[in-house]
Amino acid sequence: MDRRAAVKNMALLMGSAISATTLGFILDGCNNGPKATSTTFTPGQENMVAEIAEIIIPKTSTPGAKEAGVGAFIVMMINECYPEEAQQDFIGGLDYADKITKGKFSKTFLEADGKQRIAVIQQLAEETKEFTDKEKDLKPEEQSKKVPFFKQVKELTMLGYFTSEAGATKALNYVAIPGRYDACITIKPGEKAWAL
Amino acid sequence: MYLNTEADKQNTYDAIVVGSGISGGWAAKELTEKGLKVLLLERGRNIEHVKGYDTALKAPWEFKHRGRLTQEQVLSHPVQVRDYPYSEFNASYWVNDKECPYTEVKRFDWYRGFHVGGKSLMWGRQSYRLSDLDFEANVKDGIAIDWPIRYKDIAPWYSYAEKFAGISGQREGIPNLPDGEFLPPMDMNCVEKDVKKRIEAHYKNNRRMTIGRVANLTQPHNGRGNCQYRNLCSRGCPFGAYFSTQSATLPAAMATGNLTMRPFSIVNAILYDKDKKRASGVRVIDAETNEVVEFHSKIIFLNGSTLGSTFVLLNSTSDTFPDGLGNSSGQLGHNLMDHHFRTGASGESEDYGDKYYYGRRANGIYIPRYRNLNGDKRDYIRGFGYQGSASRSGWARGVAEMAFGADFKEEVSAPGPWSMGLGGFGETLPYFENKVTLDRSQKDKWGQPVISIDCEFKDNERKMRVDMMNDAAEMLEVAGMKNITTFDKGCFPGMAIHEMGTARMGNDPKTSVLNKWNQMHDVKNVFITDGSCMTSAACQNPSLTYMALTARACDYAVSELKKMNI
Repeated sequence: MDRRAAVKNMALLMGSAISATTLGFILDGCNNGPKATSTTFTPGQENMVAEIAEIIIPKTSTPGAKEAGVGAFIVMMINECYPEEAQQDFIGGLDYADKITKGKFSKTFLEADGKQRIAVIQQLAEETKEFTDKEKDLKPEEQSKKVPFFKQVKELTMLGYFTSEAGATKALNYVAIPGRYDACITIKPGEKAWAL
Repeated sequence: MYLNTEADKQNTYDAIVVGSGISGGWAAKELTEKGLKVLLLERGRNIEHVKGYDTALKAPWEFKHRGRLTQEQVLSHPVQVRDYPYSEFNASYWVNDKECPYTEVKRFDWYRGFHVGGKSLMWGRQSYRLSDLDFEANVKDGIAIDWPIRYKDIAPWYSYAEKFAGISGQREGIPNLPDGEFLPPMDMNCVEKDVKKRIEAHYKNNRRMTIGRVANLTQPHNGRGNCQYRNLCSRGCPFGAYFSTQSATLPAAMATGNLTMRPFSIVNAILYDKDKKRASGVRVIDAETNEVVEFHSKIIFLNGSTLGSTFVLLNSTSDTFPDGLGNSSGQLGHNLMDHHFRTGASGESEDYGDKYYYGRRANGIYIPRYRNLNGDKRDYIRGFGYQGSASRSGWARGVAEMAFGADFKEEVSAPGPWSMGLGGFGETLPYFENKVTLDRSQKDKWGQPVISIDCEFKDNERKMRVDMMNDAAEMLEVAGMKNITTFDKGCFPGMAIHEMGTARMGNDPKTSVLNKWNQMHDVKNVFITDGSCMTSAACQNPSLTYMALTARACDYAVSELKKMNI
């Protein structure tokens, strides 16, 4: 009898309700449970992530995503904070962006120029909108559990950028220790939001 | 038989306090200040005030994952990840679930921190008094048992606790939310002030809104610095600006010279001397070495958190108490309560586009209970209060949009529209069948049995939640908010981290574990002043009540000691 079956039998013998969580604890104790894994991004893919992030948050009068190191941040986050399936989906999203570029411009995303890249990301955004609008009409159990690539990369770009030193202190207004609370201040148009 | 009398003497104190969280810290302070030699036992590691707050001064970009959890953390903390408190910002303050499992007969989210200070380091700091509306609730409704105390019994101790802890707030004269000894209140922002005015006018002051009463200092207090409005409290405050064991009670206890603190000391059981009919001490497992040590004392304060203390008592079996120490009533482990929340509403304001705020206020607003009082009658009993706040949204509002590029960046870098949210905190009734028992089929890392939790919200809570959601929307509408949306994210016991009731107070030893002094009916030298003593839950955040009850019980215990009654 394997360990899992043995534990289940034990639970039955005791006649007590043991939840899945508890069972999980016991079982995980003997096989150490699932392991966190990481996917290897090729240098080209890493580059592509950085370029996509820069299109989402470009350099303006304030630094863009590239200057804030968002590309490397996203790759690290995908590797360390997401399960393997989501990592593969993300890589799949990069491949799909390349496929769109090839269809539209007969070159890879990294070979495409700035305007072409924006067109590709625009198409991704539109397809994502179509997809999510359709999902809204479905019952929760019929909805896809996967996060569309564009949403994923955009969310991580914004997190990485606005919490970076460059983003928080230059695009936004960061005060480490405010020291007091002024409940109602008057602001002028063009004022930046507080970081955090 | 060889008796090491010297070692025995070394391990003997006037009092032992089990647990160093909010109530344990208070017990240590009160007992040492009254001259007792006290041993404070803490199952986790030491975290030193200021020095031990590793992440307190870090900027957002100094967190590798910007607060998010890694897959490794998700896998090693299967319970702690179920809700927001566990994050990269203070990950080391939360338990490794795999080292200390428990059995969930029904889902129960148990959030724990094993270290000096306990949850006083991470708590929400909202501090409200209970009133006779709460203390008389059970007897008036004819459910469970009556509280053995009334507001007048605890009122002076609330004052005592508030004066030391430092609670900021606004005096309002609301009978069911008595005023306290407040430091100056924090301010409401423009939108909150407007909402307050409109709600109070519309409901003719039957519904009130006040600034949160919070254990954050609005001015220097007892040698501690005032709040710097960083809103990073749960990492530990280097300014000592919110009440915690480390910032307040521990330094006071240390200053007496009467305190010995022993971290890594898991209290496995309380030892019972059946001849003297008293507890003689505690059995401790050293969390690092697994060595078993005994300590002895005249009195014991059990402050291990509601479920932690209940475990110790259930695991303290003897011929006299085969079902757990002081459990002749059979009530020990029963009547488990938590607040239910995660439902309410939010709306946007179209006004105040040129208004903003400076500083990050670690506090919100509070709307005290108004249901089932002043003539109002619902299809459920008891009621709820609201916490909430208004703020202008930041960059995160742009995440769900499909837009990107320079204009998008510009737009989300500016302050977004104002929104105001209200979330209800509802009272849960004490149900005998909501209980914890010992599960000897499982062992924790130290070979101890674990607790099994069988607890659920029932009809009264479910009916109340309908009002909690709809009333919030109605009030926001009254307040002129637009795009109002309601939410009910669902709630399981444990999520509010307000576990209460498993060793309740009462007048009758047949139906309660503790008397009106938080003293065990069955074992007179054991006192319990954490959440397990609560006879009903009320809807207010409970920690201030634990502080007051602890100080009161310590005063009584020491006077009984002096009279040689215990």
